[in-house]
Amino acid sequence: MKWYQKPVAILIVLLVLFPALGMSSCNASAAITSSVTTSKTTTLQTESTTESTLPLATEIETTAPIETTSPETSATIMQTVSGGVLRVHYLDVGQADSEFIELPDGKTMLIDAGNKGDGSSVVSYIKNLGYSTIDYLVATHPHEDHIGGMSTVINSFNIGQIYMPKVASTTQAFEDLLNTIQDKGYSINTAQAGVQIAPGINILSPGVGSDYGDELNDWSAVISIVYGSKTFLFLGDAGTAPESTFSIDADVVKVAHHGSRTAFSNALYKEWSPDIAIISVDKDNSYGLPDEEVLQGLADIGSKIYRTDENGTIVLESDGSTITLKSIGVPISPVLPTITTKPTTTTPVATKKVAETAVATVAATTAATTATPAQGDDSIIVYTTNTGSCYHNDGCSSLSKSKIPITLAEAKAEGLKPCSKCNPPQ
Amino acid sequence: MQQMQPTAIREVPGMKYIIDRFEGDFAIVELADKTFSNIPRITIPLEAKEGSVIDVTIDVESTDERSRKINKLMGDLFK
Repeated sequence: MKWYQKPVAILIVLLVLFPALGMSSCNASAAITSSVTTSKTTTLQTESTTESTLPLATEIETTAPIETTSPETSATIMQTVSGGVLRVHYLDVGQADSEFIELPDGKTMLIDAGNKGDGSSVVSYIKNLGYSTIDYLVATHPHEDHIGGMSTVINSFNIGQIYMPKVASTTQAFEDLLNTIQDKGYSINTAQAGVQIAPGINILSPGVGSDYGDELNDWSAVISIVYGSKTFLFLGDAGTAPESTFSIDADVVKVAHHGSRTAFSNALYKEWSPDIAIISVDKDNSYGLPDEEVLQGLADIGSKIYRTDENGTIVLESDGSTITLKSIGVPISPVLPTITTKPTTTTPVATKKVAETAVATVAATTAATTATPAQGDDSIIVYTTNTGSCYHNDGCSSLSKSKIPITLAEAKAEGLKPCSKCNPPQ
Repeated sequence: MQQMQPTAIREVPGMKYIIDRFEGDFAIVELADKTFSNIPRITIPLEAKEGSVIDVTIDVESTDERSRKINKLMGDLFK
């Protein structure tokens, strides 16, 4: 949980803003007025670009002409080297969004970069995978929980093409992002329906000419990645209005807006019929997300749900015909070594162990039938240590030195025994 | 809670913040020092939107008026 999400933090802020509340002297009482000095989120229209101080440039890739056909028919099977795999990392960035994608042709893509404080973690996660270039960078919309960490990302990698919907926020966070892009000499491609980022990677929303006004969530760039017979859908924070402008048959959906009911429609999800639904959300967030009716709606259509608050970072892999759960729970920042004398060996071992042990295969074709036992061993997360022979519940005192999340199924497969102190699920 | 040091906020000239977004009962606002905080939605004007800049000022006149009123009340009650 982030510091600013705690109710106590609000109280502190209020006490700072309104110091009189914390004083007993009657002379110190102060009446506060709040006034709105500007009340409009500016929507940048094409004709106003030259007047704008925000350096938003529109530049559609010459290799990616705007299709006039529907996104459904323009979706192309990704051209790949044989044997390539598509790997999608749904990063645990708390109450925020970030997805890193290793494409079958070796290129890379990042959709959103979490809150400002997540930027360095996102960078280290991608660098630890061995990459120095992000070929396609997408900021789905200008809210801080999606773009906050992006300046750090842009300053840390070679960036290919940048895609953003042409809508502004007045925050310093957004201004900083634009300044970073400008300083680096990059320009921005307008994210809108019909734009093909690469073969098989299409933008489905916002539609050309759509105007969602101040509803920044609805401006979200919605992206589909089609590889072989498998389709991954990334919804940003798009609400049901933009979600109903396209039709698609999806295998994996990154659920919009952290599982908010404002972005969920039973009818649409029934049409998309995802085998797997991913929700990016922080544990005990102040907003009550994900909404219960969203979880129920996903359960009703048989979607297997993975959540970053419960599963940590989720990695899915596809060869174009099946989808497998590569790993869950790998921390996005390297585990701090417990033995300071040998830091170089401790860190990679811990990370590697999780990556290897947490592989649980989910055949996408059977996901619908296995979705009901959401309490199955491969969806229950327990914790083990570097050296121990037991597995534990989160919070067990045995986890003070090292704590590696794995599935219950893997814990059993490794021959680990349930801890007698914390009595984890068996 | 390091970021919540009051001194860091008091050093910022003026008291304005920008609404980044709304989530449930909260507005998530960007403070002048570029940190973010949850503010109860009911404490900001109804017409405020995402992107609105909120200016927090002390209403000196109302403060003085309330001070006089309360002091008068206390003067009547204290022996």
